[in-house]
Amino acid sequence: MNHSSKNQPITDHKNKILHTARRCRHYAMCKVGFLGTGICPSGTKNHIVSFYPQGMMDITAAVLENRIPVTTGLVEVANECTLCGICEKQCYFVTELRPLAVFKTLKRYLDDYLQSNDPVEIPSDEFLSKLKAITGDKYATNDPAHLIAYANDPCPTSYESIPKYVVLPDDTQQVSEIVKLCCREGMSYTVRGNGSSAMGFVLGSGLIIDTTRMKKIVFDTGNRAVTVGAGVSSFELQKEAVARGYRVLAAEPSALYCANIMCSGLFSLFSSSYGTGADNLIDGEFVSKDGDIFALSQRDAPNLYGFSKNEHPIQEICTRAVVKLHPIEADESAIAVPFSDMQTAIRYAKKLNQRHIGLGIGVLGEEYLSTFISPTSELAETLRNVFHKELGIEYLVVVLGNKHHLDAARDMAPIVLEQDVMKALMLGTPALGEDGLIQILRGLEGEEKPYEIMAKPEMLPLIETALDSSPQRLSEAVDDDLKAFYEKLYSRNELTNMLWLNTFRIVSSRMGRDGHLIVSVVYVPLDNIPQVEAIHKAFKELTDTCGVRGEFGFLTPVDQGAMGIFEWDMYVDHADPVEVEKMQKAMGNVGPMLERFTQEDPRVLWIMDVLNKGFSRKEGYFYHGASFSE
Amino acid sequence: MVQASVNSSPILITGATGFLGGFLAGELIKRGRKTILLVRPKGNDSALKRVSKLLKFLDIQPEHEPVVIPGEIDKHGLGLSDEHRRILKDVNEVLHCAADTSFAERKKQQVEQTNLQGLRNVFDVVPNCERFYHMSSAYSAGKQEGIIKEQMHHPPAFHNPYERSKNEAEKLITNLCSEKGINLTIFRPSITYGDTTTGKSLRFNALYFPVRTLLFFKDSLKKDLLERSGQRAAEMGVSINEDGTLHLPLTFPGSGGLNLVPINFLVKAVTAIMDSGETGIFHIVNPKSLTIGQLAQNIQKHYAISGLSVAAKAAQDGPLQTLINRYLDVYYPYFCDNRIFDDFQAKKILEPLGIECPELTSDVFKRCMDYAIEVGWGSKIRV
Repeated sequence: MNHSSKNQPITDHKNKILHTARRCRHYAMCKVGFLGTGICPSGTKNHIVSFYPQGMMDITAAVLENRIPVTTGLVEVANECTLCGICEKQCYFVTELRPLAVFKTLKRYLDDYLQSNDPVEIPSDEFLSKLKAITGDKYATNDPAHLIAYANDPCPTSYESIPKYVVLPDDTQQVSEIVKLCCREGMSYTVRGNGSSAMGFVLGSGLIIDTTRMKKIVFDTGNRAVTVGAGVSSFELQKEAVARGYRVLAAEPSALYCANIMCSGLFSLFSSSYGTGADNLIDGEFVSKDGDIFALSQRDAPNLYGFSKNEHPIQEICTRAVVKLHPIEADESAIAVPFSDMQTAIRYAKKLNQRHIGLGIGVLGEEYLSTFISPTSELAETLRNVFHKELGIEYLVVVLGNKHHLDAARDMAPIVLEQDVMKALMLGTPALGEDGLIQILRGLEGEEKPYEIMAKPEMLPLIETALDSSPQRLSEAVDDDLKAFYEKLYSRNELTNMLWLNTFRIVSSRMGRDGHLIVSVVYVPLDNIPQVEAIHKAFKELTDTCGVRGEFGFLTPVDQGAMGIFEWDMYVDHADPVEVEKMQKAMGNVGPMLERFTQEDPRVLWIMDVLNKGFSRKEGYFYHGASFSE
Repeated sequence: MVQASVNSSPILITGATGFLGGFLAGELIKRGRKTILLVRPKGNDSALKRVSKLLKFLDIQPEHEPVVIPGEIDKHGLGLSDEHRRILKDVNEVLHCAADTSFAERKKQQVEQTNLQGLRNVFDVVPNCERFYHMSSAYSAGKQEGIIKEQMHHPPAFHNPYERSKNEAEKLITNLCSEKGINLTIFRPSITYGDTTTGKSLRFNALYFPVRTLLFFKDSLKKDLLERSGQRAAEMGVSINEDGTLHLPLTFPGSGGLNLVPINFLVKAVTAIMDSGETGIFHIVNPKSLTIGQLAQNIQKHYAISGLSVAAKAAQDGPLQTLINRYLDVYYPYFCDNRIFDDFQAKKILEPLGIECPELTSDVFKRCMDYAIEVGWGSKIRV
């Protein structure tokens, strides 16, 4: 046997596996059951991130690159994985990555290795023993296989930092004891939630406190309140709330709810009516940097509601939060209002908010629209062209609300794409990219834009027929082995229901499908809409100059149209050093670029100034110069 | 007559990968004329590649290979290299066919940029031009009624930005040529369709559009009726007849006709007028318009559809009728056209040569539409 010919395919295979493993976005979508498939059984049972697909991707990359030894922890991780394939569906839905091949490779690698070697047992030490005494043996570790799963983040400005220990407390008391232990022993600690923050904020070289076991949710519907443990994800909380006829203000589905509040404050399209910052908070329970437990409602508690741009962010650990429940009405639905220019779209959204119309309002760019509804990246690319060039849709204002909201929003809208039309488009995405309906509509363009023809109420059956809108048609776009799953998945009404999709936000995770997403959020005053467009153009110029891909994300009007939450996104293949370098340059330029706008109008505020001040009242950062302390 | 002196020098053709420009360029190349083609690179295709695709499409092996110059007429100086700019200094003749033919209001700026600024840009790069052939449109007459003469129009209004831009372009080029003493010939074709003998075309709008629309929906609705519940089709009043044809209850509202010229006639007419050395404005039109009734009849006869009718007002509503109404809103001035395009000047040259516009017979209609279907309404022959 010729060794080189035998080894060549193995190397290719290894490279392929590494290519996939290194590209895990760390969005933790494998840790929430957003597709109705359940969650990774190994992760659910063991809790440590290394047992979840996200951690196993990092571990496999590290093993194949000989960066970690084969330890007992590693063997346990590999053995616990049943190759059930749940992650395959979840990860494909979000990123089109296929992790199963990675885990099969890890298992095969270990099988080979263990035939002639024993795994390394990492000895315990005094500090670890003390941690174990607090949480139990299973939830404190210094095994490199577990540590490596907490050491990386796809953010281009973060670097690998391998912690010494990882601990997973179960309740507030345990968190308090761990913090006190760290204080006594001089151990630095970093708290993390579900993913890895995607901005590198939760890496540390000492102890990582992972709060994912703190999963208690207690409803108090009489008070329209829910108490959320620090390990509860937004998706889990929203699911429980919706089952009881309520909704919470929640952001990304896989983000841990309390961590999300701490980090940037909660915002979503529903912020148009539910607010942001402290608006939804009833109380918060914290462990101070000395390990003391306190509640925000205590009169002597630190004032985390206050905001100062230049003050250091809070260092306390939020272990529980009590937040508001918003009742869901039976007649809630959604409409989409297309526009061909940004300023008109924002004006419409602002006017709605000013008049208290709509539960949720968002101006979306063509990037969001095409990416959200496309089951694959390739199709999203096609649809970007279809929406923009063929149909003339540059921006889409999504309005969520009850019948009265939506009737009023319709009255004020030039053209409306109803939920049924949007559903037909979503289920017919493969046909949208083919010669047919779109070319016909485009050929009819005169004074009326193609989308205006499409929006006519009588057109719906023809659109459905022409696009062959059906779960089966949609499933034609995905890999062969997933077609049956997609057909079943999209037979569920939720997957094409704009209200549901915005309540649970599962398709917004697709924003990271073409590469890791670097989000820039800016609070912008809406009394100067040309300025908003100028910021958009400045972002565009910045990304073009740096050679990175960037797109407008969304804008949500808040506080009766006074301010807007504006998001601009940049994309990077975080495993490609050339792209990373370009992105580092781009990220370095965002701050100075925004500072120029802030100097002109101090109300323009970058989210980095609000970072880790998420419990602050929004009034503190929305209304610059209006408070006594400034 | 300047013909003899300029024919030995190359002619610059713009829009050479477009419909009219492509067929005209092909004819001149076939005749052995030295040509310089100004072509915009598109997608992954270089200018040269696009021309090679065009020649293959037209089935031409040229005696004189055309000189291909990559350029974009929207750009000042056409974005030419110094070398290409030098080449164009020796050009005495220009056939300007490049145009943006969009009727869309939102593309108004782009249409003006291409059809007006683009024209000026082309004019500016040919400093020694002696003869300029400008491809305009019969519809530069805008909303002018009655008999449309082969003279400059000053209509009260226009149906769309395209018409306006073509009208203004005629005035612009007339002024530019007059200032420099350049001989100017303006061609004003009506709506052009494929070759009557082969069916070949490079563009599939206007005449083709209602056929394409009906055939697309015929397939979708038939699928709905045969493979699914057929509920959507039934809601639209669509059914399958006993003979297997599809019943589509649709009305083409309006009267009047569509003035159509086939590309083979246009090529013959334009080159004959060029050869004549005459200057002025020439209508390249059909003395006999196709009526909407004839169009509907041809569609029904050849494509297994029934239920199409013509009336002053649609008797039914529904999505397909909305599309047809919409189509006629856009193309109404061309489909329900009662105007007479006087082609006295063109006829003076063409009649003695026996060049006349062929009729769009039922067979020709089928040939052209079958070709369009074969090439996926143009999607399979991207030049």
